[in-house]
Amino acid sequence: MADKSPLARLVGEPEWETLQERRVYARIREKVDAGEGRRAWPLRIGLAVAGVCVTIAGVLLVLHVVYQDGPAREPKVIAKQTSNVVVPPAPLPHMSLTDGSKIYLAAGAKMHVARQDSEAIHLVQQRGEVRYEVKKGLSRSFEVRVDDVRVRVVGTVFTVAATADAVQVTVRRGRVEVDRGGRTFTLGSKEQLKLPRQLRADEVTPKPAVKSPVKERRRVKKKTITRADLQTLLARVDAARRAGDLPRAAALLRDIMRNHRLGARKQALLFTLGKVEQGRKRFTVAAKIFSRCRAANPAGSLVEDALAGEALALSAGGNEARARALAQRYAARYPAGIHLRRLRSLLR
Amino acid sequence: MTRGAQRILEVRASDDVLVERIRGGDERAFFALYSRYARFVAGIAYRLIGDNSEVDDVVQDTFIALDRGIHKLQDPSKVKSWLAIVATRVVRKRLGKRSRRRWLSRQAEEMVPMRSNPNDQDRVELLYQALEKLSPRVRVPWAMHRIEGATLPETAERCGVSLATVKRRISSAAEKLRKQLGEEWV
Repeated sequence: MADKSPLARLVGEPEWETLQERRVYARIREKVDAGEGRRAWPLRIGLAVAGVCVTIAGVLLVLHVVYQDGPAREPKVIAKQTSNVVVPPAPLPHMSLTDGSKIYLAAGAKMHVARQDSEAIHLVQQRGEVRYEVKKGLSRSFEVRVDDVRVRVVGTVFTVAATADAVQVTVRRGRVEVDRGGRTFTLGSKEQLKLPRQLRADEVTPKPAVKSPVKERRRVKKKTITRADLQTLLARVDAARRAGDLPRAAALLRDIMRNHRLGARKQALLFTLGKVEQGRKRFTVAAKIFSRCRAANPAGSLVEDALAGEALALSAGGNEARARALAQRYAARYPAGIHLRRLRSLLR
Repeated sequence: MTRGAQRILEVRASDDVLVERIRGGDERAFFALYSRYARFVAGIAYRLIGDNSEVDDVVQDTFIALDRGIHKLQDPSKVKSWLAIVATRVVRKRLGKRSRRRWLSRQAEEMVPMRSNPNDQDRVELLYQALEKLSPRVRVPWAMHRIEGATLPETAERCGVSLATVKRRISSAAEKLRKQLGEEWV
């Protein structure tokens, strides 16, 4: 083939790194060894016939539901004050309280109504993610409790997610007040607050995750960077790493990310920073960076490596429980993953 | 022979030698051929699709097809062209699936193209947005010829159609792109 066309130069090259190459090869080997992809026409024809039958049955079922007579289906009303609701893994169920407020529970969520009358509605959420759509303009108070965290509401839509180690409140519309240990945070529309699940005696009062207007103003305006400039900056990082000057390498990487718009390349830089911090034996910091790396692009090519890195960093940092949980997640998601051998000790 | 010496031999072995060894069940030869052409296949996938989202899958499907069809390969020295043909077919299938999904959901999928020069990002995004509106039948030959830089006979071979057909499809795609983008790209 001739030299690259001008369009090919403009479009550029794919992100194709050694790790990615090895990972894809591991997947190919796994499938080749399992004999997947070989022609199995009888099986395919059987599946196709079964698919057609299922489709016809589905259409008939839909027609039956659409054309049958009967009362419209109303959402279930929780009327009793102390009824427990445990939702099995299923699509979001929709329920209504007596004042017209609506509650959507994610799979596995658990909550109960502690008080429900004309003056107040008090709900206690034990676990999982629940979205509340609170009826506006009523005089009663509306409160959701998770342990010692209290969320007070004035006509709004918000979500409370109670995981094993944190409570996260996200406001979609309106305003809520979150009370924890004598301190109150007010959240407006599209704001979010994350608090540790249990307040320990030695714990400092957490700051809200909401970005303050002052911080917003101080934010550095990021510049676009060309691939050549980025390569130059990364060469400096590599030089610092080769010289064993890891603090400088980390500082340079942070500087690049702070000042430049990196798009999809951000994930690769975060991954490198995670490795550098791991090299500095700052394992907790490294684990957080690997976590950011995964979040930067959940479908990106380095998610598998970042997940393994996070588990190993947490383990090295002494957080064995979380490290094991992540290693299990890795093993479930990548049964033939290239880091499985390194994570084996965590899975025992 | 030491392991290092064996690796050197694998690196230097020609394509037909590697293909013969793969036919004999040699996994190392398969890996050597994969290492040699994975990036080449990834490049084709990336430039035809326009983003990184499915590059891994295209490379994977192409090399699984290589494992499956290597015994039918008539001229082992042309394994690179053969990989390009298979990769093109895999991309075309995936683009077809993508457009069917979009037709069902009635919404465009988010693309995050990576550019060698971020200043060009807007222009290239415009191009791929326009390409998304074409059917894979005409889009793939156009992209193979104009972006990937394949000659017309190569494009015809990779797309599995005659030279006349490929010319017609490229011309049809160019006409549609001209209406959307103007003369600059076509």
